[in-house]
Amino acid sequence: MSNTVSITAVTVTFNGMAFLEGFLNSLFATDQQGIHLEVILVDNGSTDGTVQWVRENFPQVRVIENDENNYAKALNVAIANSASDFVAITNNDATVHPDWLQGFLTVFRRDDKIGAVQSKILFSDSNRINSVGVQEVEHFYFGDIGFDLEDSSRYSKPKEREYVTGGSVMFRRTCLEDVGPWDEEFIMFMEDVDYSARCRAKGWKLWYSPSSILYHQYHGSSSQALCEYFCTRNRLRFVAKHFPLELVACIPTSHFFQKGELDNLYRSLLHAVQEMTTCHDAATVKQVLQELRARLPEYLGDVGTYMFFSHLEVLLGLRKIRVGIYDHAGHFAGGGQRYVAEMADHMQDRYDVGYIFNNDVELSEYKDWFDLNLDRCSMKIIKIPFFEDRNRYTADEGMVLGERTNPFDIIAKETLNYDIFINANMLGKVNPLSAVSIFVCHFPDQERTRFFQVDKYDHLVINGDYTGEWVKRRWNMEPTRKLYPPVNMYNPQSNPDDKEKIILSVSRFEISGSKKQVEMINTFAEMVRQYPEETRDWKLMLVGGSTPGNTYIEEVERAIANANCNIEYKANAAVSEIRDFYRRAAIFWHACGLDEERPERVEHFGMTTVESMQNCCVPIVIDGGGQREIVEHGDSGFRFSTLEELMALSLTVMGDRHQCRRMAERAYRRSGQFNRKVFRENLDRLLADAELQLLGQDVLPRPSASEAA
Amino acid sequence: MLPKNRKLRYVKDRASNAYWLLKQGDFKRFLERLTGEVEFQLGSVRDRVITYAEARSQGQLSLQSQPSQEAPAAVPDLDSEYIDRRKILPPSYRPTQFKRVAPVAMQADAEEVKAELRAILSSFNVRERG
Repeated sequence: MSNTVSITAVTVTFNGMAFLEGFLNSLFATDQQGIHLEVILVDNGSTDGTVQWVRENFPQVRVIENDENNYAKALNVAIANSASDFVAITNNDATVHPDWLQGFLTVFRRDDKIGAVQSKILFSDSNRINSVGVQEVEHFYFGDIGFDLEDSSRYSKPKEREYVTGGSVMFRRTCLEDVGPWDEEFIMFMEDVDYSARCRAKGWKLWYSPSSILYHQYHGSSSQALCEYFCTRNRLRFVAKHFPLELVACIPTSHFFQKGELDNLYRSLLHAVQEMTTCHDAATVKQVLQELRARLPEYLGDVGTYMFFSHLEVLLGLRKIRVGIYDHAGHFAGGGQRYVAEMADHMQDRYDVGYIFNNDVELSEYKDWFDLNLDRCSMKIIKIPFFEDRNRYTADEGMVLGERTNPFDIIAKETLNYDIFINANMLGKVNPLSAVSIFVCHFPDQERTRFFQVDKYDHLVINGDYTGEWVKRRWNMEPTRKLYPPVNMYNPQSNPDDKEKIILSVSRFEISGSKKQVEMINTFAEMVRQYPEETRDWKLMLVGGSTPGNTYIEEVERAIANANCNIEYKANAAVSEIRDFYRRAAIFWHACGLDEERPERVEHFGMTTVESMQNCCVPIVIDGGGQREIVEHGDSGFRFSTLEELMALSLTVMGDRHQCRRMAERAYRRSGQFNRKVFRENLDRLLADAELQLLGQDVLPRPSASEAA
Repeated sequence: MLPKNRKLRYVKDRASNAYWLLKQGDFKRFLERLTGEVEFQLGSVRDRVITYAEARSQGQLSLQSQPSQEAPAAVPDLDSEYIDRRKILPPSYRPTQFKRVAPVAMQADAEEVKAELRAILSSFNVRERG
């Protein structure tokens, strides 16, 4: 060793400004004879002004701002930014004795194979020991040697240790270079135990020096809960890396298991096994997997264990993510089915997507219904005996009230075959057993009744604010994401300057009359009677789907006959015809929800309203349900509450061609918020969250300034 | 929110709704809601009685996995009692968030690990994949 050695003192801080003045003053007051000292402070994203304060008050300190709140990564950054002979790593909620640096060097001079030397760490408020080394205290839980003992002659001599703490330790540069970077997946706590084991595995010795003293404020800068979480989590990672065959035996002694935190146990174990595959051979990995197969059901249960291994396949990249979509009404070409088919279409290249139906369906039919090719999706039909026995073609969960077991358990069991399960059509009694689950709610038709399972889903997706409001009121739940239905009825030939005097309504002719076609016919007739000049040449056109034997059609025909004015209707028009009506119509009416008290009888979203807006119609729609979210009253259309208002607003638009044009343009712009592109972008965000749940690793959040305070 | 507070809020919400309906003179909906609530609460009670007394023997979804050589543990089986009542693994305190990381390279032979995992998964009798 030459006469002068260079030392870099590295300290990592996170909102620890309160401690730094005392610490840095004591550090610069150490005996530096024969030492060239450099100090690096790595800031892990403090919000208390630490960085600026240090730069102003200790300009000789090199400050490095870490882009992540990760202690192990901070050490790597500092080490990589230094070139000294030795690197001392130390807590800063502490002060150091003047001999702190010399005390390290004294021990290093004993042997060139000493790779690291730990200080004597005393509690700052007493003469008691915090640490004079680290040892295993119970099954792979580690503790400080001498913890809370009176400082006595017992620890007054240098001694070799198995493990050293990162609270106050100096490393020889050659040792750091030989062992390599610190394992950043530890984030904080036990990264020093891991590094100690790696040093010894490379033949380096670890020692303790009683003459290098640090006075520590115990847990001055980290909470007990944080410490416990990371120690328990990192213990499994440590064992998986260094003692893989002991991993299974560590489960019952894990604090996660003992405290019933099975979710944490599951996830930590999963990532520990993943780490094991990166540093051990297949024979070892297989042995551990077999042991886990035998023992894990005791801790996580059979289903939890099955999930664990299935999840592991995905985490290790051994197969694609499997997505299961359950639609009990998939045999029906409705708006809900289209919504989910758009999801499937978007996902089918990225994932292994499988549909689950209760009835015979051919996915090829979706091509005809929705113009979507779902060739890359698989499908499976699972009949539910409860409904089969009752000759019910479609599962109606309202029938399930007094049963002792949940008829939908057969679907719940199937969900285990998927990593992400999407309950697409609001059967709230299906319990999701997949690693990630998504419940798509078009409207909460049912109250919370027996076997209600929606609160077990990870994501509750709504189609708009109206549904969200009723989810809160009926289920007392907060939706997690809003995903407007994808509407794509654009017609390049639609032009606000090329419109005919047509008022269009596009709604199913519901048997119950909930879409209010008769009311619209009567209103138009009244307009014509009261304002013959203003309504001259205008026509009301009603378009919508219907079923054979629909008695409401007869009511519509009767109303048209009585009205005796220019009104037509067209049931089951082809898509091309509907597109043409949209192109020609100047005004669009929608009255579903008028005078209705039951919220489910109000249009939950309003896809046809958006379709009309995409074709430069001026929407005049009911002031309720999802229409409020689509049409901005007076800007991109009008909303009415009574038929008198509908009449008055329509006459306003009909009588002012310029206003009609301006409003049509604004409606067109507004409709862009509900198109397929926006839907897919929002879906990608939802899937990114789901993937994060499946594949994500721990990261400490960066708190906002208010949280930090 | 604590379970106690959640229950209090539930009762408060229900009472507010009932009062509002009565104030509106909407007796029909008031009675509908009252009947629904009574049915729901009775269902919950019945659910608990069945769960505690009989569910273990009634388990429609009891999983027939390979018998373990180890002594049975005190944790509940994941039969329909479990499926009905809680999420597989209830979430616990975690100070961290998730981040995506680049896939790690395995030292172990991937094909061997894959085959082992396939064999393990096929030893469970819970899959019905067609």
